[in-house]
Amino acid sequence: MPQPTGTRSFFLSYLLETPLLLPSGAKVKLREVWATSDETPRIAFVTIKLKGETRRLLWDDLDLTKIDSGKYTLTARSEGTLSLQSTDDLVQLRKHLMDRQIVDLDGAKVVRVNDVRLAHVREGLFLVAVDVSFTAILRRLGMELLARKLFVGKVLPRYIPWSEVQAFVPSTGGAVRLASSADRLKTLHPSELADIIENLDVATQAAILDALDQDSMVDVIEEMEPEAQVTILSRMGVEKAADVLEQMDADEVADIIEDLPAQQAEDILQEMEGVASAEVRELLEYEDDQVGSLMSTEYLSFPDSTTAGEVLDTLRRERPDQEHALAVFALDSRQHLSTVVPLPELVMSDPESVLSDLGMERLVWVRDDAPISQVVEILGRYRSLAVPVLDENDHLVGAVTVDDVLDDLLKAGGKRLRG
Amino acid sequence: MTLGIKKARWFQTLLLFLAVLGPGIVTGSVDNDAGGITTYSVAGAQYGYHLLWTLFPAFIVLLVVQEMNARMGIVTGKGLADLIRENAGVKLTLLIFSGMLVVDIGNTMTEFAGVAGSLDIFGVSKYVSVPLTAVAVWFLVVKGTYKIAERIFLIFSAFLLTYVVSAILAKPDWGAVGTAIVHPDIQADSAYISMVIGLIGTTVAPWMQFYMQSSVIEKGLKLEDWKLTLADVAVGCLLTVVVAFFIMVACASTLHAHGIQIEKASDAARALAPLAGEAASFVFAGGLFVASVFAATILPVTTSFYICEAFGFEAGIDKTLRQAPQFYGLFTSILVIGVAIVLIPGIPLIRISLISQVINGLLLPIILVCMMLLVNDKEIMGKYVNGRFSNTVGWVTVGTLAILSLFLVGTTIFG
Repeated sequence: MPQPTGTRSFFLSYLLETPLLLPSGAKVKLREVWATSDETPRIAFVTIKLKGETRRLLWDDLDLTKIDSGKYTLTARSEGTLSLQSTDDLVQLRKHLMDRQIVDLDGAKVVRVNDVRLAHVREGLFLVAVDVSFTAILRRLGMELLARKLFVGKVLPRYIPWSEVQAFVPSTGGAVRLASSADRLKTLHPSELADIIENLDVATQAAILDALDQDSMVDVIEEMEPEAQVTILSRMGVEKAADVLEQMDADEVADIIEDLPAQQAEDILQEMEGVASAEVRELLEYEDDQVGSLMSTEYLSFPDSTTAGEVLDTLRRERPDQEHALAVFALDSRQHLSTVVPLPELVMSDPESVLSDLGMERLVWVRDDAPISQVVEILGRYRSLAVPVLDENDHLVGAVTVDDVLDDLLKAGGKRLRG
Repeated sequence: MTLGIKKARWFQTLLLFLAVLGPGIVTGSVDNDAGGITTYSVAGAQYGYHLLWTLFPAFIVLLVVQEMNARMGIVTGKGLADLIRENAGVKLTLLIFSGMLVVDIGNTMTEFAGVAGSLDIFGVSKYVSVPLTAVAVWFLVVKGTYKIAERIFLIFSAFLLTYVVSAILAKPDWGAVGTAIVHPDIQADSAYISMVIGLIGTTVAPWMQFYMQSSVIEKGLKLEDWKLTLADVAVGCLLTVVVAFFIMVACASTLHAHGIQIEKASDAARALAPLAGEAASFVFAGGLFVASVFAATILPVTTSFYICEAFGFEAGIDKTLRQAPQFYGLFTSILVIGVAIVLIPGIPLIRISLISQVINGLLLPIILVCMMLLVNDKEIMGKYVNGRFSNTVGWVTVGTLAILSLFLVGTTIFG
């Protein structure tokens, strides 16, 4: 076993360049370096190729000696054993980590591994961090020193500690398994995770989504860009896609369905629960620029004789999504809209007061086939949080919230393109 | 849904149509850029119908190569730049992408020369047309209306079919066309060989392999869609070759018949006027302009994107300048250098574009070898590795191109 004095650290790229001296006098280069896949991965063994055979050498049977400034030699105490099969729970540093994409959990983004930093201590050789800097590329091209001289102080490595790395290891049949710390991904915000997934290849996307429970998966998919939603759902298979879409709001589902190939869209709608798909189908009837295509069909309505206290009790019990609880709609005995009560007013008023006595003096609403610009204007002018949407028979069919409009404004104003 | 903007119905229908339009057809259309049109025109003017036969092997090679790209994209879900970086290591990746960068600057220059030449026929000076077009392209990409622009360009690229009109207006001798295809007159001098490499190199351009593979992924295509994808690829390749065919026929039956030699595509457009009428000339120039602007937008963006993808920089036009400085830096540099070269008075454009074509010719076999190794790697492709037919066509192509390219480089340097 190598016996270093104190901690020394060096790079995988150096290790792969270091010649290994065998007892027979042959000098070979390392083909692969294998590490355990626990929290602090330890180098278990290396493989070499000798006379056309792949051989395995335990790291503990190797001596690593420093010869002069920065240079090392590796000496083996045995010729190694024949290695026929790979070991499934080990990570191949060259093949699975070097040059691959990983997730930087701390920065919440996808980065490429340009080198791997190893620490050499008495207990063995450990993987401590990955280097994602351009400096690492220069190092591997043998130009690091030159670059250092040219750009003093600007050429620095950028390490991501292994505890902050989520790596992916291909497994049989084109699938991908998550190398260690799989649970750390779940600590990311759904929108961060959505960004990350959009930047990965399909097999890895599937692996991450599969590792999430159904609810978190739906949250993540909801946060994705429309193009990515369509790609992911179309690869998911009809049944699974229908399950996911059933848990999303009908207005969002309608947006996605519209962009799917016609046959697939129809299959998914057939597969979805009757109520859910009927709602989506109704929304699909609207033109893109009509209020109906933007509105949410989930809203809170109560008879206008209900008291503020009763409404708040119901909200506490049912716990609707925040987005749908911005305002409640009160209906009169003929099921027509009588007033809109914003949540702040509801909270601040006397619990005994009935809904018909609350709300804005002037009832503001919008027709489902009106142009979207009209609802934007209303939200702006009256500073309301949610605007009720009525159909031609004056029946309440949905609501447009500031959230709906904000999302759309951001998408229309921001850049949503990919190269 | 776009807020507050009323879209006309025809526009929606159009977008819907383009949404189902496949990556193969898109790639096929972008392939006939200013460089392509120039090469086909020059080949037609210089050798008449004698080089038409090259379009047949070019079609097969194009089809086989693009099929491999589509298959790799669907099976791995990874872009070609990604796969090369992960499997070929840093050194080869750097070599390939440095080459790509140089070739792309050359290509961008050719596209702007195409803009200059085509608008010159309509009486616009290149000192006006080129900077204005460049600024428009830059804003289109950086301000992020690129995806819409790409689709609009695509509609305009249907204008490429106007070359069929140009060719018919030129009244070719169809009998001679048939004879030239059936009994090709193959010569062994270096000018002829470099023309053949030029033709194949411009038809099977390296950047297309990257573009094809990425668009398949972006479309979310699956193995179940395989037959449709294949059909789409075939139609795209056919489109490329058919347009090339008619450009060559148009130039052969007019310019070659009258012994007129040309160096640029715009020369062809100009020369068509007295021979085939002003209409043919304007149609030719209009097609050239559209193709040039289209490629001048797409090539720098995609090249910057693949380089960033390979080296792990943030990339994509949905990112801001601050988020992806390397990406926008590269894109802007390619554009600026390309434009600057075109605007330098008295610069030997033909010579520069020839050098970039040679690098292109050298790069192509390297990339094809990488592709062949990747597509035959069981660990990457599983059971979807190449069959015997693809492998035979692939390796024969690589071998032939490598030999021809080395020959061309030899004659360029020592000849």
